[in-house]
Amino acid sequence: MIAAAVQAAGGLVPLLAGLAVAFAVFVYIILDGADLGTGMLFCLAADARQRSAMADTLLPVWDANETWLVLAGGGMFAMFPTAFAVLLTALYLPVMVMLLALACRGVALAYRGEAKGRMKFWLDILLCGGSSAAGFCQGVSLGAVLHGLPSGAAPYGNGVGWYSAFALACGLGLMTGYGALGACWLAWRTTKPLAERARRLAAIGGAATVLALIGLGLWTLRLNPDYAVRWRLSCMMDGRSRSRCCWRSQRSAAAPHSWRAAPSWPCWR
Amino acid sequence: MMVLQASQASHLAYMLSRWQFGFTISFHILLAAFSIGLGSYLMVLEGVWLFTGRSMFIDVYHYWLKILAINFAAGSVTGVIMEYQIGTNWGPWSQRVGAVMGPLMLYEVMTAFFLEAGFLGIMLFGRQRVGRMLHFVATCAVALGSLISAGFILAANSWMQTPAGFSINQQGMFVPESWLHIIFNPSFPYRFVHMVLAAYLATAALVGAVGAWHLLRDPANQRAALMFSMAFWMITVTAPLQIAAGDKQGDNTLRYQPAKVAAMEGDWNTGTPSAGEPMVLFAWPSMAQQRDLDTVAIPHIASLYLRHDWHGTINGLKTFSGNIPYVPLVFFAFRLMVGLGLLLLAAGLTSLALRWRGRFYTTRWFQYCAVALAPAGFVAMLAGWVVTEAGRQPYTVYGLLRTDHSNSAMALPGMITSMGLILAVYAVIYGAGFVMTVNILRRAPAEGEDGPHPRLAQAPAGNDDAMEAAR
Repeated sequence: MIAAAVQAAGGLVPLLAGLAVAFAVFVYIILDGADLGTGMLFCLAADARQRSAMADTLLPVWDANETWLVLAGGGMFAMFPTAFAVLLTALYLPVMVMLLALACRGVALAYRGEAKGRMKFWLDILLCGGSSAAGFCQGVSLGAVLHGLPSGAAPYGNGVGWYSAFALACGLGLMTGYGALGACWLAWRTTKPLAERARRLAAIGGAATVLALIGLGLWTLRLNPDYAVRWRLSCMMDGRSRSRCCWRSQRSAAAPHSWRAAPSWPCWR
Repeated sequence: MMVLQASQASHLAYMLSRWQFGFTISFHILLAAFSIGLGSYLMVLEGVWLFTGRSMFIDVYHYWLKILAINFAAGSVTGVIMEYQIGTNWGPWSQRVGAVMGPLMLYEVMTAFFLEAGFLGIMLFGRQRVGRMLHFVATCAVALGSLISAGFILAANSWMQTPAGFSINQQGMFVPESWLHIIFNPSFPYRFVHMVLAAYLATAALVGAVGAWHLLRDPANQRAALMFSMAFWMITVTAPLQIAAGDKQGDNTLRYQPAKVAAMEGDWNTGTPSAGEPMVLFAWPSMAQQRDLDTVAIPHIASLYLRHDWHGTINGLKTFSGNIPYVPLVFFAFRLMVGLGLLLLAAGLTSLALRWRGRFYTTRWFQYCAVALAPAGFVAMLAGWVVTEAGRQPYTVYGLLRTDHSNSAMALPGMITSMGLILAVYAVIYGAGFVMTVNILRRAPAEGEDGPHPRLAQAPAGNDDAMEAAR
């Protein structure tokens, strides 16, 4: 299995490099996803006391959690410079908005402790809006990569090719997932009235996330015949036709001008 | 409405991309330098407090810790923006230098950022949760982290100025050959020393100004006197060191980037040994006419500080066949930096004279001067960066990769949108941060000063909802 994975990735070093970046992204999504979800839930808090408690749970951890995003970016830049250049340029607007939204979220949290009255109110709006926009844009970026980004004549994309209904739906899907994570975080880190409320929200959010995942998963089958081939249940049905199950970069005749962003993932065998 | 030609639009998009990066990096570096300076200052304060047990030091520590908390948050979020901007705005550059520059940033993240981000929590919230020594270790880790971070970033920047230890493959990508040569490239040691000293000097000027301000309002405030005195000892020591370090870096630049030095001097024509190199005090360098207008200069003086020889000369800008930076920017920024550096040197020497005569804490005119010097170090530092970065043009990797081959081919509307968004968000971040900082600094440092988030830093008993928040 390992040998096949190494072969699919084009060598041991690319495989390890890919795993390192994937690990950083994964940890970021779990850790900061919970922070962003908590930020989104600010608009559902009952009163100022609850909002303060929610901010208190985030204050000591948000910065360290966001560092995983920096690690993922640095890892991409160092180990996959071409993908870094092509992807970020092609995803120009969602990435820019995400970064600025993250900035708003971070400073709103940090400044909140020193702020009073009206200032605190605006900072909370900034925190909630920043968290929501950051989560949405991350989802849009993921959706755009799954959907495929046009490269056209310009080697680094034209900055608008990320837009599609599927990408927007992925944005909403990721927001749902982050909201569920945030609710779980609050259920764990806070006490009674707020924790009770968070527990209920987590149940609703968890169910919504599962539905969103199923819906988006089915949608990918319609995006491109490649996905239908890759996801086809042929693994289960005829068990042995391994190559069909591989996430391998195959250019499809159906979309000759579409640059497929999905890297050569290891085969699941 | 004016309709832009396609080539004009793409050139404008390219210039916007450069301005955007210059804008974000300038605002980020203010915070980064302040973190370096403040981190080390806090380490000294807490160390002295642990050693002597004098509560004054921990009060001043807590006073500035509140500023660090705000500064660090803004610094880290603006840093994330920059890291991704090199991909969004400078795709071709990222692709070609990624193998060399990427690992430097990756090492920075893994050694510095995680160290800082992890220990900052203990520093800000751990006052009553961990022992004194562990808290001091956290302070040291944050200070050390900021210095390691500066090391990697300056190694990366210096490599772009004086590239070494690499080869270029068939696809035109830079491939690392020797990490020792990449990190310790010819200009790195000079630039690192110059930048760390700049951070210390800028922080000291600001701390000294705040101390002076509170001394003016209440001459009996011992804590204000403490920060005033410590800051001016720092200025007295680092200002001359900084000038010496700057001279050394100038020598290095003359060796590896002579066009930059020619632009700093506003020197278009190579001088003759008999006339030496004049020191241009003032001029309007004209790119169109390739000469300086309204020049006020002193003969031979520049020969002394450039070549350390009465008759030494350097190559004029005309000898670089057009591969020169935009001269007025480099020329004026250099004068601003040197002028402010000399001003700080004078302030340091004056403070020494006043101490000698026992009037350091009572001379009010000097305290007014100290307040006026608050931004001097930061402005000088920014001006210095303009000299070195604008002076590197028209290249991103000096002599090897041109800036107009480094940018992503971005459409003008997208660039205008992102520029507008960045300006709006930065106005909020820096505007609110500035108001917060001023609000904190307006309160005089008091006995038993609270640190940041006093409610969270205490035992969590009083807080029902967030019982475990910062355990």
